[in-house]
Amino acid sequence: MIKAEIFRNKDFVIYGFRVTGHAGYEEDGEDIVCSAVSILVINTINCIEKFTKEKFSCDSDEENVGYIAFYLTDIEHGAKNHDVELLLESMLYGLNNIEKGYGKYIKVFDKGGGVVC
Amino acid sequence: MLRLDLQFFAHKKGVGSTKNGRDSKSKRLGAKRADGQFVLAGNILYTQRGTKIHPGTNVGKGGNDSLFALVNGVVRYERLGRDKKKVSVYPLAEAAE
Repeated sequence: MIKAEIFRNKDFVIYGFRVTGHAGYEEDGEDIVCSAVSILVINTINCIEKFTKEKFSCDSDEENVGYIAFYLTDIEHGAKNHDVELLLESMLYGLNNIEKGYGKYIKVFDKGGGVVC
Repeated sequence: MLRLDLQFFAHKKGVGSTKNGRDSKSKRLGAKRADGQFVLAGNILYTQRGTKIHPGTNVGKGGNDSLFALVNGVVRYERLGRDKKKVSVYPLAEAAE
C-alpha cells in the first residue's frame, strides 16, 4: 500500500510531502494505481522545478522501496507561493480521488487545508 | 528533474525466482572529505542520490546531487533544522575564529 503524508505549515499551506511504499495492485509494468500516483507526484515535482523559482530538497529511492520525500524549506517557514501551492493542492486532489476509488492500495494522510483562490 | 517512471511505486519483485540475481555496480557514494579537512575550490565533498546532505555555506550542488567546494577552506558538517544535515566550507581565516 502506498502511504502519502502531506506536511502543512502553521498557515495550513503544504510545504512538503513524503510518499512511500508500493501499491501492490498488480505486478511491475501493469500496476495502474502505481502509475497514477507516480505521474501525479513526479510531474508535480518536475513542474515546481521547471516553472517556479522555489527552493526545495528532494530525496528519492526507487530501488529498495518506492520513496519520495519533497520539502520546500522557505514555505515551511511561512513564505508564500501561490503557483507552488496550486500545484501541490492539485496533486493532493488527484491523490484523494485515487484513494476514493482504490483505497485498498493508497492512503493519504493530510490535516486538511485547500487553496484560497 | 526526476525521471518519469510510471511504475515508480510498483512492486519490483517478479513472480519467478529467475528474475532475481541482478545488481548494479556500487557507486561508492558518500563522504569524500572529512570534517576539519582542508579542501580546494572544486573538490568534491559528498556524492549522493537526492539530498541526504544539503549544500551549506560556500558549497554547490552538481547535476548528480554531488556537493563540491566553492572556495578553498575547511570542511564542516553541520545540522540543518530538526532532522537534516548540511556541509559547509569556511575559508581558513573564518574557520580559525
